[in-house]
Formats: sequence, structure tokens, C-alpha cells
Amino acid sequence: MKYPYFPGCSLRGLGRAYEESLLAVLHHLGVELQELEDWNCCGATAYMSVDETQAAVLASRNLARAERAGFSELLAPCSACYLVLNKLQHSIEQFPDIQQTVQRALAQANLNYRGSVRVRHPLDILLHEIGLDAIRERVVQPLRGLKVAPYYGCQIVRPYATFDDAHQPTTMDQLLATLGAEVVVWPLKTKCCGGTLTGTVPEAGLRLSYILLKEAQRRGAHVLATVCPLCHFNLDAYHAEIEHRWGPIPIPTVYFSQLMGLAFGLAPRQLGLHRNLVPFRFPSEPTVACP
Amino acid sequence: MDYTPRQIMALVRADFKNEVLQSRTIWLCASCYACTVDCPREIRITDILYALKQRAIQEGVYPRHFPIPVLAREFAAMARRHGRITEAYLVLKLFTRTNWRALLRSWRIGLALIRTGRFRLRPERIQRLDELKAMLAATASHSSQSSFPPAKVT
Repeated sequence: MKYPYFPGCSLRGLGRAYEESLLAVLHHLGVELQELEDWNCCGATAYMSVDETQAAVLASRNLARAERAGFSELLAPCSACYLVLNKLQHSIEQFPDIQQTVQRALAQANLNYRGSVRVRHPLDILLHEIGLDAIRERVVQPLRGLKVAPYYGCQIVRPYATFDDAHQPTTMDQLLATLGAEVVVWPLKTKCCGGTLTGTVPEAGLRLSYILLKEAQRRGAHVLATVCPLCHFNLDAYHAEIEHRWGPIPIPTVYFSQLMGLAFGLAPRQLGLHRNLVPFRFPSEPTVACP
Repeated sequence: MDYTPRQIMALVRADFKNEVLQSRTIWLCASCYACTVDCPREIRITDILYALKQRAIQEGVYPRHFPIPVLAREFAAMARRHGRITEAYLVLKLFTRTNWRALLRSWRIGLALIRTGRFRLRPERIQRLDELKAMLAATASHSSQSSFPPAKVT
């Protein structure tokens, strides 16, 4: 299997470990990714706040280039990219004037978009294309005894619940259980981490991240599993600041793909685990300590 | 937060334009869409707040020293100029524009991110920048009016 791939800016920066681990586990499962040539920033939530027409045009270049390359699907692992590209696809289908504006802009670059690209998330591909059985076959080091809080965050299930439920998503729960982990019942799985508010208005943003960690701790979780580079940044890089404000919460946050890699027996370094600021260790034996 | 989200909606409906567009509340929406999927009347609250933010920027009445609109504008400028975002520079820009002390306080995180290879300082940019610029230029005449429906702000 081969999937067209839209990395997005974060996976080349703060979220490098997400790309490293995702590529490693997909390769292990026999899936290769083909990067969209000369992709550009999706615009995220920030551009949408400034000018929505430009935001739509910016994002549309990616879908148009994907279509021209003959791709019918585009894998977008970052939550913001996934939502923005999906939202554009919806807007183009729903609002003829947005479609017109986008087409007019694309024409300036000799591009065109017929609307044929389906934006997909890695969890969607893993569960609905590759399948849990194929994943189970690859597990050589089951994550037995590891209690994981599955953190979906906002933007992969809202406002468009394309492959999972908007209120009670379960795809990551099923995946983690397949790896042998114990999935903790944790009602905050789709609550907001604070997004960029952690940097702009820390009093508000950090509190949201703190609530996630605190509740995970109360529920006995050893680790949070995330799908989003921004959630990971908030929970990992601001961890020290959160502890400074509210006291110790010894819970690391890792990407779900990193846990997959560990269960597949891949090396922690290959999965980018050495990039975590809060080191991840198995509860009983400190075997996965980061170098 | 200077008004609650409900108050913002009521102010919009009652034509309190300045109060709404100058408020900090509209910028505190982190776009998590929780309200949008929960609203029993299917009001797209997140999109309404986006429309209000855009209008506040167009009319130049957003709270000037509030870091959130500053970040949004810097983000958009970098995306326009380079086609991609280099997070390290975006954060540096934000802090130098709004809060020097936050920059000084964050040196520990910055060093840790550099040590773990996450804070990349090589600026990212796309190859066909002309293509993107031509596309964005084509929107210039249309971007003054919002194409999404709601938000009655007159």
C-alpha cells in the first residue's frame, strides 16, 4: 500500500517525533508514504482568524496539487492540517461562492480543483484500511501493565466526525488495546488542551492542559497518548511550568504511533522518544529510558 | 474574558458592534468546536467567532497588545511570505512583539527543545512561492467581504 502524504509544518519542527514514529510503524506494516510535492502551510486556526478567503486559497493549493498528482486521498496526521483541509473540502462542496473564489485563485497558478481528494487521518487508515488484525500480528512486545489515557483532542473529531464519534471516539482505544495496553476510562479524551493559548494567555491555556494531566493522574494513567503535535507540545514542553504552578504530575505524553512502535519492538530512538522533554518509561522496568 | 460567549452573541444581535469587535473574548476561542457540535440549535459558534475576529482585524479595532491577534497576524504573514511556518521564528516574533519577559522566562524550554532537535532554526519555505503569491493576490479584491454567512455585525 502507498499513501499520498501531507506532513505539515509541525511534523518538521516541534512534532518531528510524530513523523519519525508514524513513518516507522507504517513502514513496518508495509505501508509507504509519498510526500505531496512542494506542499504549503494549511493555515491552521490562525490564518482563519485573519482572512478566511485567503485561508481557503492557501489550503486549496495543497488539494489542487494532490489532485493533479493523481491522488484520490491525502493522509494528514496533524490535527490542525486534517481539520483545515477537511473544512475546505466541506466548504467547497457546500458554498458555491467559496468554490468560485478558490478556482479563480487557483487559475492564477494554472491549477484547478475538481474536489476529488479525500483527506484522511492515520487512525482512520490504521483501523479501517490496515485493520487491527494486521496490527496485532506485528505486536512482539505487548504493552502489558501500561495504563494509557487516550487523548484525541479537538480537531480530528470536531466539527466533522468523519471516521469516529464526535463525543465518544474509540478508534485509538481499540488500537491501544490491540497493542496490549490497558486503556484508562478518562472522560476528557476530546477536551481542548488550550491550543496556542498556552503561549499567548498562559493563565487560561496552561490550566486546560493541567486539567487533562490531573484527571489522567487521578484515573491511574501512566501516560497520555496523543495524535496532535500541538497537544503534545503543550503537555510535554510546558509540563515543567504546569508542575511549577500546580504541583507534581509525573505523567509523560507520547504519540500513539510511538506506543505502536514500542509494541512492534522498534528502537525508542527510531521512534523519536528521545525528543520528549518528559521522559517516558514503562511503569515497572525502566527499559525504555531515553538516552 | 471581558464578556461571556452568550453575552457576545446577545451583543451581536443587539448591534453592539464596537463592544464585540474590541473585546478580548472573541480571541479566547481556541477553535475546539465543542460548542459547535453541542449546540442544540446547530449554531456554528466557532465560525461566528472566526467571522468576528476577521472583522476586528479588517477594521483594525482588535485589542492591540493582546498576544492572540498578534500571533494570528504574524502566523498569516509568515505563511504568505514563505509558504510554510517555522515555529521557532514564530514564537520568537510573538514574544518580542508582546512580552519580552515571557521570552526570558522560556529560555529553559527553548534550550531543551534545541537539545532534542525540535526547535529548528533553518527557515522553511516552499519552492514555488510565485505560484502561491499569485493565488493570494487574486483574492485581494474579494477578501474585504466575508463569504461565510452568519454573524450580523453592521
